[in-house]
Amino acid sequence: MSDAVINPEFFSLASQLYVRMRRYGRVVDAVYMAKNHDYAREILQLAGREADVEILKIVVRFEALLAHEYPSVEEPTPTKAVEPEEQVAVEKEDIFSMTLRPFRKKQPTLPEMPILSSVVEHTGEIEEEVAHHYVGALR
Amino acid sequence: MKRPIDVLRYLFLATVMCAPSLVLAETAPYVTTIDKISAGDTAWMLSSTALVLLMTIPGLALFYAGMVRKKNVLSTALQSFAICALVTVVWVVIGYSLAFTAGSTPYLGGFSRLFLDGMVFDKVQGLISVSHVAPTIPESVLVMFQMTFAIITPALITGAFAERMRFSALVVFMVLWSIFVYAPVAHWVWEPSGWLATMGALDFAGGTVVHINAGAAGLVCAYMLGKRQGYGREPFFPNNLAFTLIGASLLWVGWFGFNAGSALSADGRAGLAMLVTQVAAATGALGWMFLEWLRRGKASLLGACSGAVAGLVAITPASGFVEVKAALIIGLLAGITCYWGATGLKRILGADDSLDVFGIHGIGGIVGALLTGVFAQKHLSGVDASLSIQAIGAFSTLIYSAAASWIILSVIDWTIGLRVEAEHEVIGLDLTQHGEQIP
Repeated sequence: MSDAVINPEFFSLASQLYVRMRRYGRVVDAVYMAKNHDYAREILQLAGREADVEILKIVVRFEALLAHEYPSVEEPTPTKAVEPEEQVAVEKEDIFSMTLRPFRKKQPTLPEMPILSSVVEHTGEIEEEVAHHYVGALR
Repeated sequence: MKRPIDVLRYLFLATVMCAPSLVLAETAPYVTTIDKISAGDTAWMLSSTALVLLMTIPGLALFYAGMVRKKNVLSTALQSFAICALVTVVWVVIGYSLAFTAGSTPYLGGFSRLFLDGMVFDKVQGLISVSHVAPTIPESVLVMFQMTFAIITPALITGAFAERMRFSALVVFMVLWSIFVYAPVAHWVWEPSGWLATMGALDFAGGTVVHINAGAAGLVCAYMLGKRQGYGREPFFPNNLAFTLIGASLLWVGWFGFNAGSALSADGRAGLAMLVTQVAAATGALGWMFLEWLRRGKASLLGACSGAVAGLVAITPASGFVEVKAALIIGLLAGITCYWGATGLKRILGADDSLDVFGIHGIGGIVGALLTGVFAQKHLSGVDASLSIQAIGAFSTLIYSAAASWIILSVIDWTIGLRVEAEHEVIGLDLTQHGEQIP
């Protein structure tokens, strides 16, 4: 059961996000992200606030994958659950304020979005080709 | 060059000359004085033994474990580890005796070294037993060195039935296979009274005994166990190709012990064997890599590792008999041929040989055995090479290994059952067979 839920592509992106977020003092559960798409969306919301371009690329790819795998899913908005997390996030920001957190309020600039879209599309094509290669053969 | 009639004559003579009274001291282990032992040879053989054992644990364990799906990583690695333990016991109990002592026929050894009885090391009296095939090193060292070959051969087979064989069935299969397949074939080729050795078949380090043997058995296993669920419909992603690279690297370096160690002495032949081994591995990797680059537009890590292994497999029977130019060609041809073996031929055969054991080890072994007949130099091998004799050696081993493996598997299937339940296969062998998993 557990293995059937863990999508290797999800896990790969979740692992990348884990590594990136650690640099900013945030710890995410990569395994749970790959298993539970509600949790994944929450983390992606948090990650989307970061100014790191690499993190944003991962977020876009992850969201694209989620949309592909779970096309009818609406964004869960348990507001009561979000608020404490935001408060915790604020507290954590205070705790980690001594670490390098440049441009905390900076949002991604719009011209970058089309590039990220093409990256996502191209990456998806390559991943499909790789997946196809591993059907019925290893080499 | 030997004619077919000569081949038949050798076969006849080998079969009738089986009386124990005709066995000379040179064809059996014997006791000698310690001063006859070469310290240099012994030191090199001890090192080679360690290198070859590293090829299985953790070399092959990592090589295979990296290629399977994550839910089967631990079980795949454990199979190599468990086989190391199993075959160690089998070898010292009966395997060495059946392989490396003269028997009543040229097809199987005797029981004079059951439990290694008769193997002597008496420091007080200055006596030590040596094998007739390696008179300058202690027999215990030869036992250990050959044990590592006996270990890696069945471990290679595990790649063919990866992700679906019951662990209990595997244990039984490997014990029986080591006794009834590996030991006899080793006897045929490496024991001087063996029928293939008598015929003049050349196999310096085990292209036939190890690789063709394992490849044939692997293919039969793949057919008998059937295809994995989802095979041909869904992608089976290798979980960690970095493991595979580490494993392949250990195999490459360990192969110096495999080939150069088969010189059974620290001399020029060992040096040449090491050199040609490196050359063949390199050209094998390059050959596969560039062919894959042409066909798929990319050179892959798995392709480079596989090509290196293919080159190493092919040079194995030839390593003590050929020079560098031949090694360049043997490695390159092996890389190209085994690429076809793991792709086109695999589709033709239709079996789910999970990790391409036949495609690489079987085909690579056959290519190497045949090319040994083409490129072997008499001033290195001491005999005239014969393509026909090499072919007889290769295909007789192929047929015997396949047939005997089929019989053993049939018996096990009838009693224990070979394959895990369908649901367990989906969950993964790590959890279902061993109660462990990588989270």
